[in-house]
Amino acid sequence: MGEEASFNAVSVMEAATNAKPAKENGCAPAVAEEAAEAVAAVVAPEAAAPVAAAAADPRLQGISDAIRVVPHFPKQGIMFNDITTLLLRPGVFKDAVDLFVERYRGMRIDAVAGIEARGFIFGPAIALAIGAKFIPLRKPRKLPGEVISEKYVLEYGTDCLEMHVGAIERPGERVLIVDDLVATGGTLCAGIRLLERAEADVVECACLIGLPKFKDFYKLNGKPVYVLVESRESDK
Amino acid sequence: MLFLQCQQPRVPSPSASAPPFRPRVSVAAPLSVRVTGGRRAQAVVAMASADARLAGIASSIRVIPDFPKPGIMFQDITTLLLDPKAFRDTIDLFVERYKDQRITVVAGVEARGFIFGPPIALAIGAKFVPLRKPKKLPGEVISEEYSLEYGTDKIEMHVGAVQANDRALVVDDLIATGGTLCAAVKLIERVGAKVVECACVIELPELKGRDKLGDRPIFVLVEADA
Repeated sequence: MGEEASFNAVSVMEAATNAKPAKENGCAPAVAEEAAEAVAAVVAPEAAAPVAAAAADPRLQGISDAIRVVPHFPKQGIMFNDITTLLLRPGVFKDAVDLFVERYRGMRIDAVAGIEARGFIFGPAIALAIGAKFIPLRKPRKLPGEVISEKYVLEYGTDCLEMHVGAIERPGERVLIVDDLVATGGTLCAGIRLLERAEADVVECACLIGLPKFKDFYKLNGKPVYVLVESRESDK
Repeated sequence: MLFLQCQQPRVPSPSASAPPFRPRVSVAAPLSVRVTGGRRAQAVVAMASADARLAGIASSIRVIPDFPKPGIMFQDITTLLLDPKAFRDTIDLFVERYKDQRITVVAGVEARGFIFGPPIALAIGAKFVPLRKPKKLPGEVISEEYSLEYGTDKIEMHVGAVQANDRALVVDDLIATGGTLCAAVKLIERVGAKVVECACVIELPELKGRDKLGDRPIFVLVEADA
């Protein structure tokens, strides 16, 4: 995933205001409308109870507890949700992968696309378990050979995500995109666009951690986003 | 054509295991199998199966000429990752080697070490520790500098990730000159842990990365020309 603060971490301001849709490139209209819907849904009493069945899974508490919050990284105001502490707990790391595998095993996924670099930590294990190929989505100039590139907007400036030509071998291949965390969704949106340009069918995006609005299958560019746990502002 | 073929990763021929060459592939002496009595037949089967898998792995790796700059033949493992069987076999070969060696931590070098390291760690029940470029890891880190062709670079590890009593495996996709791998090993040794072995999919023997690692063991699946 992009290492830049606004896409990779939970901004205190973002959590309060529920995303900055004006800074999304291509995803902006969808995000603006759905953000409003999501906020309205949270306020309505009938949406107060957890919706996803996975919310009751006992493994989720261990996963949430294993994530460390590092304040003011990479800059002031960003409460960084650090998954490296989860990786130090083999049982919890396995639980996270297992939860994704259990969900996607029966969904005829042809490929798992992981966003550099933390998507590389989770994506391949999922791909191996469900018999799918793994496609790295990388920062510019890392992939050798022919690539397609997709620009996306950051808080300040732009960045770029690349995929190999030929990673998607035929139209309609069913793809899962994986990253460690989703905040504004800008990087995931870039990944969705890359795969759709290659005529793949993006089935879902999967992240361990998401801003609260992603809890109930909030959609990016019409694609559902599945998250295991909510991002936190501080360690318990 | 012949020139390109030489760049394609290959499984070392049996003669490559004869002295003075060190075995590149563990099938000749897998650490986790003691070849005694009835186990002999099992070891032979394991060797044959490993050779078949290695051929598939070697042929799934794509060579890209002149990347990232003219004269470099880049060994591209992304095509291996597009072949679920080759990827599965790669991980299995490492897991078979390490599952009985009481490895407590797998350290992966950013970024392609992040692709191979975690599946190995998960399969053998070890921690995974990412070794990263500067300023990527949040919180307190230790750094190790290493030389590049022009200038230097650094890799970092979280303080507290590895303990003095850990037995570590260091994983990356490829060893070339050995500079990055050596820096990774040093980070782990600095906190007092033991690097049991370095594990890479590909080695470029001409670049003598083994020399940089000194007497620290390294295990690779295939070798290729630089």
